[in-house]
Amino acid sequence: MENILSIKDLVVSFASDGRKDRAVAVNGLSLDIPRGGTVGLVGESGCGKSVTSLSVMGLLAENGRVDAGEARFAGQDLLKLPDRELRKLRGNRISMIFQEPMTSLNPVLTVGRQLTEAIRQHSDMDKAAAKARAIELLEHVGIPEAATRFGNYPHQLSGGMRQRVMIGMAMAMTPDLLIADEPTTALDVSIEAQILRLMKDLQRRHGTSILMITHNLGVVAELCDEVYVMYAGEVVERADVFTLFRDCAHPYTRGLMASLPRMTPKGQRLYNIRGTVPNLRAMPAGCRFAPRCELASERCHAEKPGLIDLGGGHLCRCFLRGEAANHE
Amino acid sequence: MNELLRAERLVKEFPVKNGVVHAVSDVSFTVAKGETLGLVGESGCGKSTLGKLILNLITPTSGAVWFKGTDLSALRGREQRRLRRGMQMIFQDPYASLDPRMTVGRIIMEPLTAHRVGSSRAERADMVRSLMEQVGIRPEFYGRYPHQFSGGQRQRIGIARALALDPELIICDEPVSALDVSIQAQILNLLSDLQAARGLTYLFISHDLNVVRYLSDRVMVMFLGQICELSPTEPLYSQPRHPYTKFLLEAVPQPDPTLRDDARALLAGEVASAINPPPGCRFHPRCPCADDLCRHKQPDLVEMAPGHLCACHHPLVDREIF
Repeated sequence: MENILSIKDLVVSFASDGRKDRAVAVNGLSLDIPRGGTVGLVGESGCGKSVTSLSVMGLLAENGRVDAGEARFAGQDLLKLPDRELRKLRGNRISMIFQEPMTSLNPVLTVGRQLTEAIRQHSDMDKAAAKARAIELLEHVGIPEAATRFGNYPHQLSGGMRQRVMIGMAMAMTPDLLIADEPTTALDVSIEAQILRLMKDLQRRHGTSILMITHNLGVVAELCDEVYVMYAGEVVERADVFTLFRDCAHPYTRGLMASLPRMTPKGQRLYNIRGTVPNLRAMPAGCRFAPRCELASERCHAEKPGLIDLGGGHLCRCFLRGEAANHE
Repeated sequence: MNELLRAERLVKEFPVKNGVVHAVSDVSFTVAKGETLGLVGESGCGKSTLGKLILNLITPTSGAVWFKGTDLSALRGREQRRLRRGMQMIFQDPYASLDPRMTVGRIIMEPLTAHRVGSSRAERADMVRSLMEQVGIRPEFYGRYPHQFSGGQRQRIGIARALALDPELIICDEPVSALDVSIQAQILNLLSDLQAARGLTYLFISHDLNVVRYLSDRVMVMFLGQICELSPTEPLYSQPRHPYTKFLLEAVPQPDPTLRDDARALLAGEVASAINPPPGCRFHPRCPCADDLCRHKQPDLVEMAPGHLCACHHPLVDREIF
């Protein structure tokens, strides 16, 4: 299958004040996004999932640096592209939405102005036609009284409305790839459901591929075709969504799944992964999850496991291949 | 039922420039000793305001809070403080609710000092160490500062502080919303353990319906300052009576891809404003079942089944309507 984006062996590190060594936030990550597909990148705070997308888009903070790897998008390596070229792609063939849409909207321009600009950049519509199209888009993403809202500034809208404006913006640009970083985390469930449906709609209409970065396994189950699970800067498991939720193999993924209160009756204990995530500057020598893993053997503490293909592209970074793991 | 807390026709209104925010409108309920009452609803439904009213952190416009059989507002000064010791709160953001310049030991000790518990500083310090142990923070960390702890550990510190005065009721306001899944499970287990060990009563405020289901004996659903449904937990989840509850339950993305349903009905529109809320049933502008009656008359909270209350003119009764 053709990939719209293919990341290979990405390494990203950060400097911090007064230290010579750099903290490696992403350590040799590879990830493919098939054209028209939705790929989920899941993990907990600090696992490197957001850093991955920011480095691909050339948006790393100043103390961040891509040390190695490539990210092929439509034949070009995004990591080697000059800033100017990358900026052109970002507004054009690749759209991004973030947890807090306020950061990606210009606070001193009305949403209508921002939308019409985006539309006119990507078409030869005149001002009036672009305005009509913008209002149509606002209506489409479910903004009430779209014609009035057209003249509002971002701060006059609720968080859910702002996120919908961002999706409207993405629709105006009909991007090849939408990178969504926790787009619904700050929203109420009823608004979250609306946003997820709009993303599916964007994909259906324009064949847009989606990279969904989230910590919410419910959102992953709802939206994604394939899932990469990250832990401490590395992919520990990759599988299609049905396999992952039916039969995940890595002890970390299993632990995450078991920690979720689903139908768990009151009084019954929830499974919890012991301990906390390791420090970026003091990674365990062997498997990075070993100190928290109930199944870890001496080998796990001493030697680093690679990603093993369990069949059909189901990858797992574990010596035990998770077979003996059972948290039920 | 051994009643610990009773909210009686609580009303809280805030005047603003262009009207009045009806944050909490005529809310009555009781919580039994040892029970967990879950409180769910979306942003602006009044759930946090309700928590603050119960703790008397803000004064109700009208109505009363009864705790252990006493009307809190009838008490003044020392007497009120003494009764209020029995109620404590845990907050969503363990980063914002701990003073960064105080050591963890001092943070937990503060309520003890304020209420003159223990005869000496040394005795209070011993109590603090014991509390740290109970919530799973090593007592050696007594002299550390909040920034030296992870989010989950900070929430444990907040819990230790809430436990210091040996309360009977703890109001938990979104205590796990800012935590990662694996850490969330640790805190939920800790809350369960503490409840079992100390016979605690919880009012558990959350927007996460799965978490609420796991922890609660009964669940109360709020919409724009009013109770729309109040029921023992399982009946509410298996057979919601209020259309809003049903929408909420269906909107939660479930961690199971085989349950995907792109055709399921979604709640349209925005969360309405609590400033000058609509007349009649406040949910009617977003409700598919709304008719003339709903637009004009506010529904009463009616008992549909034992302990299962619902405020709707057209409650869902064993039928699928959307």
